[in-house]
Amino acid sequence: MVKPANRSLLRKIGQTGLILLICLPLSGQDSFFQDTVKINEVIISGKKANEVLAGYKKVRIDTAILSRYYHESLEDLLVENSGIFVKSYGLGGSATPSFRGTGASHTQLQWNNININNPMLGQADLSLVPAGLIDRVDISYGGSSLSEGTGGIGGIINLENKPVWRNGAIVSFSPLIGSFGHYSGQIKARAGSLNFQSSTRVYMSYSENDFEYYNDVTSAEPVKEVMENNETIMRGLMQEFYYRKSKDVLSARLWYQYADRNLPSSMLIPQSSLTEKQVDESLRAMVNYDGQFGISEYFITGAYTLSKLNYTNASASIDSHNRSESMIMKTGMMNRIGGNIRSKLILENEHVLVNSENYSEGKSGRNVLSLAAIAEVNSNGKLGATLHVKEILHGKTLLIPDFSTGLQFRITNSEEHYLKANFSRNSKLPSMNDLFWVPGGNQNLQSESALTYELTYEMTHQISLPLKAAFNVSAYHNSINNLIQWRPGNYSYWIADNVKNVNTSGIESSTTFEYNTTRMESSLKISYIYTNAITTGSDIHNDESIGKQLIYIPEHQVNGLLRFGYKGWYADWRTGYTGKRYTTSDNTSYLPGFVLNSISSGYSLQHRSKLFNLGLTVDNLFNITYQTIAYYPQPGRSFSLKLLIQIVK
Amino acid sequence: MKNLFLFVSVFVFLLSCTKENDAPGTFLEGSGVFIINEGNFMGGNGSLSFYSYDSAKIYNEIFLNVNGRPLGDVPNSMAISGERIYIVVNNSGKIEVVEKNTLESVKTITGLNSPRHISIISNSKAYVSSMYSDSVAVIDLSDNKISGYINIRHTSEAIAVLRNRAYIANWIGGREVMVINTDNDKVIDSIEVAVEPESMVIDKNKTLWVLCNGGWMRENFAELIAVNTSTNDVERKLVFPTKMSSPSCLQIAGDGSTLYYLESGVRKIKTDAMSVSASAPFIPEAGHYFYKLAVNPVNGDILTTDAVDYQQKGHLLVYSSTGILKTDERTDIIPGMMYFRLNSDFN
Repeated sequence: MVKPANRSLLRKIGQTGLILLICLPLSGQDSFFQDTVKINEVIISGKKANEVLAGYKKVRIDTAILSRYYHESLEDLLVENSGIFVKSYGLGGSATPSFRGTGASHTQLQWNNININNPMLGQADLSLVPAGLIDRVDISYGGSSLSEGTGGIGGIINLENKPVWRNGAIVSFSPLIGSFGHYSGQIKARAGSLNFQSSTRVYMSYSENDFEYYNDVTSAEPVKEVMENNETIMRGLMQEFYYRKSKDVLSARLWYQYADRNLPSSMLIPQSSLTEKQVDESLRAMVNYDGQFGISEYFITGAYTLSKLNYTNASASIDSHNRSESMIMKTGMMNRIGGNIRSKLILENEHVLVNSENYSEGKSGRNVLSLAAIAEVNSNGKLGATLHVKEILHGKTLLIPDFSTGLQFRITNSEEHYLKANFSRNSKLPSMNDLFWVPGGNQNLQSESALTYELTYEMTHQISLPLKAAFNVSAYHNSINNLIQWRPGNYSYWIADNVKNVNTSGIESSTTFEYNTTRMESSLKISYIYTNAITTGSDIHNDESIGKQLIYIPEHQVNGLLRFGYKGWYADWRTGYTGKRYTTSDNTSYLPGFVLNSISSGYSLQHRSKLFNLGLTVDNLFNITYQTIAYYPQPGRSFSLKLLIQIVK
Repeated sequence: MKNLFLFVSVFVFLLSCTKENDAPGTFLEGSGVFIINEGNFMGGNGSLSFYSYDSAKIYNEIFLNVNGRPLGDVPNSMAISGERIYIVVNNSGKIEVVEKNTLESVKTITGLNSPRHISIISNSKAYVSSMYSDSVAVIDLSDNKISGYINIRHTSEAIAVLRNRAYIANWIGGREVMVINTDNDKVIDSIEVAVEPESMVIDKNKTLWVLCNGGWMRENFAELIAVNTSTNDVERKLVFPTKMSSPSCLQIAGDGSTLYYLESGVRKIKTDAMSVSASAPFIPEAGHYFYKLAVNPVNGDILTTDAVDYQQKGHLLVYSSTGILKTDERTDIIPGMMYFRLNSDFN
C-alpha cells in the first residue's frame, strides 16, 4: 500500500521510467515482523545494473526477512532463505557458497555491485559478513549474473545498502545473548532530510562457541567433549552518505570489518594441541553517482577494497601475512529506444594487487577490463527478450566473449504466469593464488567456462481476497569446462591445473501460500532443490570420479518456513532437510542427510515513536547430531534472546 | 528421547562413513604388505589396508573394522616390533599401538607434536620424528609412553638405524643428518648433506644413502649422497641432472646393492654408480601419479601407490622385479607408505 504522501512522487518517477526498485514495507510485514517503526517512506535504489531482465531468474531477500538476521551471518541467512548450499566448518569456522553444484569460486559476492570476493582465493567467506549490515540481498542465477559481474558461473550474490529519504532520524539498538557464550550488539542510526541521508551501523560480536558434542571417532564409544579454541570476535562499521538533487543521487559508503577467529578443528585432532588462528580485516570504500542525461540514465562507481588475512599456527611455526587490494571503476549507461527497447552498456575495470610471502617477489597483480552490452525488448509485458554480450581483457589477453540470451513469455494476460528461458556462456578467471602461488601457481591456466541452459516457470495467483499463492520451478543445465583444481605435480608439491569437465543440472522449485487478514497474517513456503553435479571428463588416469556426484554437493534439499502473526505477536518455524553429501570423489563415502528445525517467537510493541521487539529463537530444536564437513561437529540445541529498541524522531 | 536421537545419529553416521567392511581374519597372520592410507589433511579419513600375498587380495579399513573407530587424521608411518604394530598418525598427534595379528587396540600414545616417522631402536625403545618440533620423541615400548625427547635443533623426517647409531634427517629447509647414540639418546655428530634430506636407506656395505630433494622451491639440485657410517663422512655426491628433478621415496632392494626412487616413474641405480643418468624411468607412470614406493626385500616386487585425484580411493600397483605389472588393487584415500610383513616361508 503506497502511502498518500508519496503517490505524487511515485507517479512522477514512474512516468519517467525511473522506478528501478521500489520497496514498500507491506502492512503485513510491519505488523508482525516489525523491525522499524512505521514511517512514511519510499526507498529508492539507483542501481541500473541490478534489474531483473527478461528471461532470467533472480531472487530477492528483502528487509522484512533480513530484519530477523540482525545478529546472524550471511551464511545463516542464505542457508535458510535460498537454495544456495553453504559448506560450513561450523560455528566460528569459514563458510563458502555453492550455487547449483558449482564451487565456491564460481559464486561472486558483491557489495553494491562491486566484487568483494577475496582476490587471492577467488571466493568469499560468508561467515564474515554480518547480515545486519545489509538492507537487501539479490541472488542472480547463472546467465543473469553476466550483466552484473565477471566470474559468477554459478551466480552472484549482491549485498545492497539503500537510503531512506525522509526528514528526521531513526536510531536503533539491538543486543543479543545466546548459548555458547554468544553476545552481540548492533547500533543503527539514520538521519537526514529528503535530499541528504546519513546511515551509521556498528556491529560487535563475541562468541566462545564452546558447544558440547559427541566425539564418536577417537574411541569406540561416543565421548562428550567441549569445543575448544573456537572463540570468535567480530567488529564491523558501515557508514553511508547519500545526497540527491532532482533525480541524481551521489553516494559514498565505507565498510570496515574485523574478525579474529581461533580456527575450529576436526574432532580427530586433540583439542589441546590447537593453536590455529586467523585474523581477517577488510576495508571497502566506494563512491557512486547515479544520474540522468536526457533519455539516458547512467552510473559511475569507484571503489577500493583492502583485505588482510593473517594466519598463524604456533605449533607449525607458521605466521603468514597476506594483503590484497582492488581498485575498481565501473560505469554504465542505459537508453530507451522507443517504448519497448532498452539498451545498456557497462564498462568495468578491476586492478588487483596482492602482497604475500607466498608469491614470487612477494607480490603480484593483474588487470581485468570488461565491457558488457545488453539489449532488452519487452512487448507490453507479454513477450520479452534479452541479449547480453561481454568481452573481457585479462592483462593483455582478450578472452572468448561471453554471451547470454533470454526469452520471457507471459502465458495469460489476466494472471501472473510467466515462462522464462535463457542460454548463456559464462567464464571465470583463475584466482590470484591459482596463477601466482609459489609453489604450484600456474600462469598458463585457462579460464573456466560454462554453457548454461535454464527454463523457469513462475506464477502468482490471488486465490481469494486473503489467500495468495505463488509458485516457481526452474530446470537448468551447466556444462563447465576446464575446471581448475590443485593436483599433485611431479615436483613434490601440488599445482593448479585445468583438469576436469563437470556437468551440473537440477531443479529448483518453491511454493508459497499467504493468508492475510487485518489482524492475522500467516504464510507457508516450501522449496525443493535437486542438484546433479557430475564429473564428465578428467585428465587423470583411472579417475573413478567420472560419472559421480561432486563431493559435498547434496542431491536433495528441502526447506520449509511457516510464519504466523497476530497483532504484535509473531512466531515462525523453519525446517530444512539437507541430503547426503559424498566425501570422496568416487562416491564411496558420504555424510548422511539431516533435518534441522528452529523456532522463533516474540512480541513487538509500538508506542508512539518507539518500538520494542523481544524475540526468542531456538535453533536445532531437536538437538540432532550432524556434520556439514566430515568430523567437524556442529552445535546442538541453542537459544538466543534478542531485543530491539528503536526510536524515530 | 535425547539419547535415542543421539544413538540413531551416531549409528547412522558410523554406518555412512564405513562403506566397506572387510572383516579381519587370519589374513593378517600371513605374508603381505600394510598400506597406510593418509586420507585428506583435516579430512579424518586416514585408514589402514593390507594386501595379502597369500590370497592376492586387498583388505581395506582394517583398523576401523576391528576397533570401531577411524584411524585418525593423516596416518603417516608404522613400525612392527615383536607382537605390536605402532602406527603414527601425524595430524592427530598420536601413535596407535595395536596387536600385530589382530589389530586390536592396545593403547593410544598421545601428546606428540606432528609425528612423522617411527623407527624401532630396540625391544624397549623407538624414536619418532616431528615435522614441527625440533625434538625427536623417545617412546618407551614397555609401557607405551613418551619417555623423553632428543633436541636436534631442527624438524625431522626420515630415520635410519645401524647398530647403536640412529641417523635422523632434518626436514623443512634443513640440510643435515643428525647422529644419535641410541644407548644414551645423545646427539653425537651431524653430517652436512644437501637441502632437505627426504629419505634414507642403508646398503649392504653399511653405507648410508641420503636422498635430498633440493627443496620444494627447486632452488637447488637434488642429490643422492653416500655417507660412510664408520666415519660419518660424505663419500659420494650424485647430483641430479636438472633442478626440476624431484626424486623422492628412496628404497633399497633386498640384496642391498640397488637403490630405487620415484621421479616421474620408478627409477633405479646401483650403489656403485658414479652419476645419476637422465635416462627413461625403469617403470614409467603411464598416466598414474606414483605417490610412494616400496621394494619387497625377498622377491624384489616393486610396489607403488597411485593417489589418483587425492579425493578418491587410490591404487596399489605391484610390479615384478623386472617391471611387469602383476596386480592393481583399490586401496583407500591417498595410499602412502607401505610396510612388509613377510613370514619365513614367503618366497
